[in-house]
Amino acid sequence: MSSALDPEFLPVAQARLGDSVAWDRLLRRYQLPLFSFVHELVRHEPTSLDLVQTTFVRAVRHIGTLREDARFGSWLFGIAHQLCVQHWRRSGREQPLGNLLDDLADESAPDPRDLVLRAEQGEALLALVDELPPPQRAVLVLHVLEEFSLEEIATITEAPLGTVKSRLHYAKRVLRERLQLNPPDALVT
Amino acid sequence: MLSSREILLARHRAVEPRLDAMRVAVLAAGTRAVRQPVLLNALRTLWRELVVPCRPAWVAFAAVWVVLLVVNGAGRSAGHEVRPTASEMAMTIASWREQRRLLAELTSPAAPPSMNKPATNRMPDHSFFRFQRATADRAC
Repeated sequence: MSSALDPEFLPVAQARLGDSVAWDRLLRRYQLPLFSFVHELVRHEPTSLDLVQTTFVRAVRHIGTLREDARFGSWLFGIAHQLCVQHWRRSGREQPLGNLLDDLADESAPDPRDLVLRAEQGEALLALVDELPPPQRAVLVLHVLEEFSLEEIATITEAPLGTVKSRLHYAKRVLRERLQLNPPDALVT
Repeated sequence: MLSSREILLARHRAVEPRLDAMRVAVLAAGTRAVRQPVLLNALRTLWRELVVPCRPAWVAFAAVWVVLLVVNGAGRSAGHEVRPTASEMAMTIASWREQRRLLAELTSPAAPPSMNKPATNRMPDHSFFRFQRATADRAC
């Protein structure tokens, strides 16, 4: 059972009551992963900061709409993803249609979460991640950053589960192909 | 050695002071505004913990209530359709009038006795009374 002393404990119930200490703890826990996620999608630091700030404001205002406390993380990332989509629409960029890809699940594809890298190798891998189309990148980053389940990622991105699976598969496959073509030194899996 | 998550986060560590400042600013403005009345919070908690987890059960309850209301309404409307016919009404009214007349005759002190009841000074021609008269004559 989780308690307030547990570093992983998220005081969502207290935050619902407007406890600023609880909010501080929650937002501190998620601020950097959330910024990383938004920045991977938007690729513009000031815009990313704006979107994260808007995400925080909306979270504080609309905490009443959160159904399950345990889903706070995916709910927060869902708000951020909605804001990113709105930003794309405002800036005239349509989200590429990643859902046209077939679901080609390949269990042998390496899971990016399992990669253990030196810093310079990580940079090389991230450069490859940057080349992915936004929908695949979003799914991969959510998968790597917070280890969300496929169902949670589907909720966050408001995409069908099959689409999320195919996007993740596509992202892994592309990464694997590019790593095979241009392997960073001594990638450890 | 770093995990891919740590690599991804490390890429943006430089922004952390700005994120901290932003978080403090959001909280300074935000949590005061969202502090809600106790009753509203209690209702929300009830809704979240009592209704949301077992929505199918509540939906079933609601469905049962709707069915009961429909059945009840249908029974009432069917009851309205059973109406007495004109002849039954006439008979009822006639019976009611007869009862009223009888009641009036019984309770009215001014009513002539000849019309209403047999004369009280006449001995009824009955075997018991004949027997009484016979025994009285013999005794004399």
